[in-house]
Amino acid sequence: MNILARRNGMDWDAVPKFEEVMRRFFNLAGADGDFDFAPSRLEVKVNEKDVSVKMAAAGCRPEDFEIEVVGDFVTIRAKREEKVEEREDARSIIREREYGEFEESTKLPVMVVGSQAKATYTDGVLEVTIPRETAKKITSHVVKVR
Amino acid sequence: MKNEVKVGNGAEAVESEALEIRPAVDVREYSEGVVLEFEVPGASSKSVEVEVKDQVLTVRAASSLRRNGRKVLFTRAFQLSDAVDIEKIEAETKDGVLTIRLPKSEIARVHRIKVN
Repeated sequence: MNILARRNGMDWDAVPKFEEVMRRFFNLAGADGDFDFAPSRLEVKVNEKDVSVKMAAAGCRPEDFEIEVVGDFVTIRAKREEKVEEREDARSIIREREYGEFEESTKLPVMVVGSQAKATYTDGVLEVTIPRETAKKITSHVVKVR
Repeated sequence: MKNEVKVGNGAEAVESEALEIRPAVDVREYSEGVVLEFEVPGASSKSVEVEVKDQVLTVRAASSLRRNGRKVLFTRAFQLSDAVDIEKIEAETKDGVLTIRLPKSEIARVHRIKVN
């Protein structure tokens, strides 16, 4: 006896997304995944004194990340290993989560001090905070033409 | 007969402009029940709500993440069969992964009988 029931004999989800219904109705092509939060999406926020770079990476450990800041370029590498199933009575019904290694890079819109970057991993979100470079004093010099 | 079980402290109040996203899930079946693992990065046990009503399991998890300036709300629902022991459903959140255990009711368990 199945614990999860399929709707209409086909779908697992009890409530389909509206977009999914429309896509099927119009038979639209394109494999636009329903899971918007692929593990390797970066979210950059520029604050007054620092820049925050967030990556959604649920189910990882802090040691699974490698972060590199070169100038204004940030690279984050992460890996997520699937738990090895030891039980013989296990049967996979749905498998949507992604495993393995992934990497994401981005150029920051402002200059930062990479050597002072800090990173935290909370509730499946890696956040890298990098202080901004302080603005150098701009000097102006008027040149007279003789 | 309506069964209503709520697990979790409830989703935090989310503005109406929250962006609903369907989280990825892995579902594995064992002899004693089914385990679902939802990917809900940015959600904690305080922002997760798991509800079973009229045999439908609904998960709502408010995330600290934003997409296009809108707060993200992970939401997904599954139809459950009578084989689930609803009273014994367990849920826990860790590192952005929501794990829900659906135990099979006694009548649904496979009992292997030896033939003498």
